[in-house]
Amino acid sequence: MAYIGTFTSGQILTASELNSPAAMCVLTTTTGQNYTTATAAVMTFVAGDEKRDPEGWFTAATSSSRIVPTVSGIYLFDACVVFANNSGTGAYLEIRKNGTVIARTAADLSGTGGQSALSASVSSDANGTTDYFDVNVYQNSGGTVATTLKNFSAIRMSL
Amino acid sequence: MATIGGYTDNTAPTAAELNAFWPGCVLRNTGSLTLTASTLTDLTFPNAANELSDPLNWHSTTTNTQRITPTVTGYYRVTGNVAVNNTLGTVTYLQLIKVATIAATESSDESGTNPSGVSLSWVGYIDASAGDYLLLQAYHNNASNRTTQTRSFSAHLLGT
Repeated sequence: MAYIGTFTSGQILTASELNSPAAMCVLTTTTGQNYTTATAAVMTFVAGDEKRDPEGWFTAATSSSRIVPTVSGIYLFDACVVFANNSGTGAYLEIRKNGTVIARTAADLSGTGGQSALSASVSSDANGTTDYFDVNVYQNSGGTVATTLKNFSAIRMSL
Repeated sequence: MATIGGYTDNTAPTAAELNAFWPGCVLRNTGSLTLTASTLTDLTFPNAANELSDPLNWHSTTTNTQRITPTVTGYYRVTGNVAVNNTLGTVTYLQLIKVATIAATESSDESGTNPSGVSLSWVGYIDASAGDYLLLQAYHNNASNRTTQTRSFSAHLLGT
């Protein structure tokens, strides 16, 4: 099935293609991931965390942290992490392309009480072959903190 | 007018359908809403002017005005933002609720005297046949109540 970015001239789109025009990869889990204080680490997912991935951008067996788009284009990325209650004075979430930060959100979560969470979104090009994207997260509460929710998604918006 | 989720084989979309290809609901309310201290508050959009776009009537200005209730099952991208008057060194957070579950959250701890604001985005599945709905809740723990300066909420159907 074709998606935006793979349509060809003269192609007659099927109802399925019109009704699901965007290829995407949606990863989400409430399974906790432990974050050691003052140590950045990438978000990881397992195969069951793929809620949608028709073009196979996420392969848990190859890399549990990366989305690797298989078609060149412009992509929209969203990420979110929610921590269990902690008293960290600094935390950040980064969306990275090939290990380089392309978006970061940071906050002082020292008084956040029952909620400490970070979200970010960013658009980026991807070459459709080697470019990969992941989410890097950091907290410095002084102890290990587990996540209660992790989201990471990519949508191809255009060529 | 057909939209994503409603196209059928052998029926060419009209220009109007293609020009409104991504069905969505876009809400914005610049009116003040009181956020009671240390209490989750639903962000409401009760005025017709709050509906910047809502072609499929996913939002009501009379009933459950805090909700977006999509009528098409599929994957959605949702955004939310709340700007809050000075929270003076306290915590503010915004959370997206899908029915009764937190789908995404963003929080901050404002240590200065500037206005605070939090934003979030989410991509996920909505089962319209099950009555799934979305809403935003805001929280702060200042000693006294605070008010919103503006609040925004949107959902767009990406595909079925």
